[in-house]
Amino acid sequence: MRGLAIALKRKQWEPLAFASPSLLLIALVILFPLVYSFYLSLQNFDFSVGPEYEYVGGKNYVEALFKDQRFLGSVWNTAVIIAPSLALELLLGLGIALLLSRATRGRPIITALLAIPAMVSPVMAAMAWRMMFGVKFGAINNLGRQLGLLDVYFDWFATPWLSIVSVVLVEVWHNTPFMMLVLLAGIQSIPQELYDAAKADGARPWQSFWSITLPLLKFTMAVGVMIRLIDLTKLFGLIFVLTYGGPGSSTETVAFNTYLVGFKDFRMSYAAALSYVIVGGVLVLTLVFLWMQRIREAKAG
Amino acid sequence: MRRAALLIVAVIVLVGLVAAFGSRVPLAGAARPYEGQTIRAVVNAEYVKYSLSLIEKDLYDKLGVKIETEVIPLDSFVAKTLLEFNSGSSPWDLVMFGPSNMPDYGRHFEPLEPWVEKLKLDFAMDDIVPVFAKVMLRYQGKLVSMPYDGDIHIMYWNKVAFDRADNKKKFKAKYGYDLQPPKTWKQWDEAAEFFHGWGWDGTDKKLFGAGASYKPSASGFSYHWWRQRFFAYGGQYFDANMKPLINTAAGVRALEEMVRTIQYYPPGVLLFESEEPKTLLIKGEVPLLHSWTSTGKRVGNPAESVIVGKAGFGLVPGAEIDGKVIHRPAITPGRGMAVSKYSKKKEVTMKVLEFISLPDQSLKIVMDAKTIMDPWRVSHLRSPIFRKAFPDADKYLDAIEQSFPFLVPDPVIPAADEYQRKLSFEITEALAKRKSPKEALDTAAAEWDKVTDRRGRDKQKAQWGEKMAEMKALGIEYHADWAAKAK
Repeated sequence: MRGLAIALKRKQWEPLAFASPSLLLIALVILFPLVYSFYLSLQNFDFSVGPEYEYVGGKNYVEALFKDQRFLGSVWNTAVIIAPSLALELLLGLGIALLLSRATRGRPIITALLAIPAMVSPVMAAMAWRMMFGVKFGAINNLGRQLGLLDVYFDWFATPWLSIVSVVLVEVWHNTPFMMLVLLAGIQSIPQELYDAAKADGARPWQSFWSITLPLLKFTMAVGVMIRLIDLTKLFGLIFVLTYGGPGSSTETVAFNTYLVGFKDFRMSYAAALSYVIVGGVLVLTLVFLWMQRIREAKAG
Repeated sequence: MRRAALLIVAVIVLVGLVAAFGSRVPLAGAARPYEGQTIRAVVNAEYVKYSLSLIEKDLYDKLGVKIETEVIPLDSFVAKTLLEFNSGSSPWDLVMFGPSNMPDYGRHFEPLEPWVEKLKLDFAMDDIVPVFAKVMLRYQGKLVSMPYDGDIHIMYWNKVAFDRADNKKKFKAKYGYDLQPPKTWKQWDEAAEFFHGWGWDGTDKKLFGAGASYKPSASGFSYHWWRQRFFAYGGQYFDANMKPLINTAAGVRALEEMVRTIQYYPPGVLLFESEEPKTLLIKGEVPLLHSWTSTGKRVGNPAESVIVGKAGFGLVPGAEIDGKVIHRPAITPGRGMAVSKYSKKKEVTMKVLEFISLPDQSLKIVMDAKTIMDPWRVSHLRSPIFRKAFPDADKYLDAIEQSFPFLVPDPVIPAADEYQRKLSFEITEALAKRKSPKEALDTAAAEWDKVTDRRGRDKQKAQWGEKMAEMKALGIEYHADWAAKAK
């Protein structure tokens, strides 16, 4: 009886003991910064002024949400970049995944080749595209000239809207392969029998797509969109290299704005508050997205 | 016998003492007295690292010291270095910095004067250009650094554009006066308008009116282009009570002109940093540029320039006030070198600082086109070798010297970098036509007030008071009426 009790107890603490190094590491590198940065966001720590700081409550949050026009502008800019990027990545990713799912030969090689952009770091991608967008010597303008479409002096960053279009183009080029891979995996997990049965019932390809592929791919699409949404709210490297938030502040994203506040102005507490506002925003968006999915599924059910 | 034994012991002790401590005091004139020592330097660009490599052999031969240089990119340099310093430490011995940020850096630097005494250092202070000696070297009255890069703006023009008879004729017909390198901003804008969009060099190429850098990165390129008009129109950073004056008539006029004429500048100018317009100038695609003095060395480098011997050098334009042209070129902002207060190798770093600042060693650095470091010693400007380094190098160096009496420094008070960045950002908001010039400058002024409040208004006011007095001594004062009457 006593032996059984010891064994049970051991069963309880043993997994915890094995997991403790990982838990400790997580606590150190994730929990501590999270808690500390929240604590910091309630202070007025400004490294440019000095190491002393004091408690200011929610003042930084009030400033971020109601007074800081530049930050609020960057929220708008981020949304303006996210919306078309996500839509294009989803549509293109789905299209390519569907084409690849039908390829009978060379699929692994084509998939690997198409996935290359996603393997390039955002900074490297931005540097390459900055050169390609270059005035006079840039590859795009020179190709455009040969096709009779563009002048070599066409400036891809001349106006705020054109700059946003250029950023979206690079973003879509860079991340469509990710969406493609996620959706391709989703398509391949759909049982072939469903398509065979549909075919036997005389369904046309678009009917199979509409009634089988799309409904069964919804969850995968939702996961892909959510991952990309979270990624896009962190958009920084591409902006830093490609536009530096310009012209003016037209492409200044929330992540880039937070970088400027924290690492150029040294307003550490305010930057921490901005980070929490961003995290809060992403959380709300994700929850709304999941809630909408559930409602749709309930209706469909 | 006993006395002889004592004598032997005394001699042994003496020899031991010399062996133990003698090696720690380098003998004057000894070859490589610091053999085996390496110091760590921090700089903000690869070309600055390269500049140090030009003297490393001589440095090693003379002192036996090696320099290990870390490069922190320009845009994050101030943030990263000040983060280290403000936390009370530094992995670096020798520190490069922007002199306009001296109020933020100065307390982390080791004062030089006690070491000058102790090590008999000679920084050849009399040979430093007076305006650089005034704004680059001291923190709270103490000598803490040496210049490394004497950055100012001068004007460059392509003589082909200005000397062609056909161009002269067309210009006079359109504007009613002779085509010449501009002396005022009005003339500059008209020249830019005239030259834009056609082959002013006699070819059928589509060329541009003038060059500029308008990206708000680093400490703000667009700010440097705005401020030279602003001060010529009677502007000043703050009044005596720290109320920003950047959104006054002078500032608005300067920015309105920039917004109106941006169409005569090359595509992409909103995201140009320092080097893009220089390249356009030396490739013969813009006829006019005011820029850093390092541009002149690129102009004279036949490996990349097509305008060697065809370029003119002169003062940045100004404004005609009551019949007199007022020029206000900028110190923009240069580089200094200092020894970190937290260094554990202060003595050897002091010797290195002295060595790299020597007239002959620093000449090697400022003469090399690849370093982008500019002359800061009088002897650099008068050097017979430098004056013959490329065609018209003498005229280039004379143009630099002619600019010295008119130079306007940055707002050298704590948070200078932040003030400049906030303003530069708003200038680009106006240039991108997202705000009107007045609206952009009002926002910048409000941001400046916030910075002042964060840093402590009284503290800022006291520091600005000193700087304002220094600027007044140089003849730079606020003139509310100049913006309206400037021609």
